[in-house]
Amino acid sequence: MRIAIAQLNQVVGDLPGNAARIVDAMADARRGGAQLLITAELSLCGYPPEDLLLRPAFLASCADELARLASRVDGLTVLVGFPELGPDGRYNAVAVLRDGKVAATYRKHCLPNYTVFDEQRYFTAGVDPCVVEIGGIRVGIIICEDVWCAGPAAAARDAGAQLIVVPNGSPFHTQQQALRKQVVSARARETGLAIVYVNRTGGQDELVFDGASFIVDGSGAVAQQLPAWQDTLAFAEFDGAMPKHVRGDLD
Amino acid sequence: MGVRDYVEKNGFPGVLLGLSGGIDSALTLAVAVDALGRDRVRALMLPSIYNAAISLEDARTMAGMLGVRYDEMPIDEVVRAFKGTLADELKGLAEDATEENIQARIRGTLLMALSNKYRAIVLTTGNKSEMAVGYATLYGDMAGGFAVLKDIDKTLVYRLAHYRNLLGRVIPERIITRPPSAELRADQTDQDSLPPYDALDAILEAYVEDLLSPAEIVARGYAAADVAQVVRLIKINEYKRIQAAVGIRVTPRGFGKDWRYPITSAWSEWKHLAESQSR
Repeated sequence: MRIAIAQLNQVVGDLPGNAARIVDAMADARRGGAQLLITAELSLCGYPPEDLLLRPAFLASCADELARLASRVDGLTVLVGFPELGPDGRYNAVAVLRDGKVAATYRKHCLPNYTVFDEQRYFTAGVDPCVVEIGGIRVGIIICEDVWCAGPAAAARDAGAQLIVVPNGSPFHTQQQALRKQVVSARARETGLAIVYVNRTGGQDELVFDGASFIVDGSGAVAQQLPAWQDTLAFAEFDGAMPKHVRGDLD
Repeated sequence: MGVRDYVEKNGFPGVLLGLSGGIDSALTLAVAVDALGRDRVRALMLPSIYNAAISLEDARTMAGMLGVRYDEMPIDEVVRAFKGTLADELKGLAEDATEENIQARIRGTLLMALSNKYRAIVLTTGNKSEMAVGYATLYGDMAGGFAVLKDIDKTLVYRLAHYRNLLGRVIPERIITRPPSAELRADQTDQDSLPPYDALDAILEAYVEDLLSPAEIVARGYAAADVAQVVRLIKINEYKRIQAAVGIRVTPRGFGKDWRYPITSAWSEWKHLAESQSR
């Protein structure tokens, strides 16, 4: 299997612009032969949208834009982060786009409410795992903070996942790159599964996002490292659910 | 109680504020004296050539009615010095908000100098309507430690002024009845650049507190041009609000911890309004 990772500098509130960047990445991913394209957390509306999430018109526009984007998906599977307005609350969600529609949705379980995060102000926690089959591999989806708790990755494995992917909106600080590796490696060792960690790039008010996406194998060893501070579309090769190790650098 | 506790619990000996002869600074002064007593409140009038004579008269009258220490410190000489230093940069360019803001910033600088010297905290006098649409000068009239009227829109400012006078007259009637003006250039009124305050405040409440979209607000009967202008101003002044002094929250959604919008944002709802109307 071949996975494309889009490390994009999305703009908060720019729904058409963000969708256009994802469409461009889709074209590149297809050309490169990828079966799956992964974008970062809330990649459709930009992260973090803060109180825009409280505005019904904003959520409705996100739903419209997601439907438009889904209709353009053909020949591969695309993971897009969006704020989902459900009947019983708002969710920090990832849509699995395939064959012109939303094939499945994962709702973030763990909502961080410390340091710069206040997601409990906005979101209801999801409870179900989400595993989709892509290229013969069962891929489990979790979102950002989910990888910092033990539960969601284990739940994905129990639901049959052979590989875990994690879209993130993880802001930089001086210790963050080491901390992410530590935590993601721990999840990989607990579950025995490889994990694809995808982060956004760019500045958003007081936050900067370094990208620095990476893949660890089932033993927790880094198999592939994407550059920091660069927008990029990178491809990762898998042998079954096992990532192939490649040389790479944070820059 | 909000003013008293902020001042006392944080150990300030007193407060000082700039009077303009307008209703916002008048109400702020009245609240300050009610909260702290006249001995802990100082009022300053920092007039320029653009202040009407009645602004000075009314400021003097009000300070006299409340019995607070009142001083006048004309700023025209400082304005001249500023413009002199900037002369090469300003040469050949039309006067605009730059020159207006210099006046406000001189006042802010002078008040902060007194604050440093005498340890008194500066009360800012801006109201919620101004905070919403950015009708205020950063580091000018926004300079200060505590924003008493931060969550009181202009309509409520008038009602509170009336109410306070019912309890005992402290605000000269003319301050309440004359049209509001920043008095930063000749013959200026707020309505030169903003919709009338009753419409402005209704649009603000619908957008800020009720979270309605511009289209929904227009459907309530407000002019599309006013709605678009107000929503646009709210959005582009996020950077200014985030640098404003803290103040007392009294509505269901004030511009403090219950208003956490991204500054960097492309979400421009007023444009949707223009698009849907041109269809």
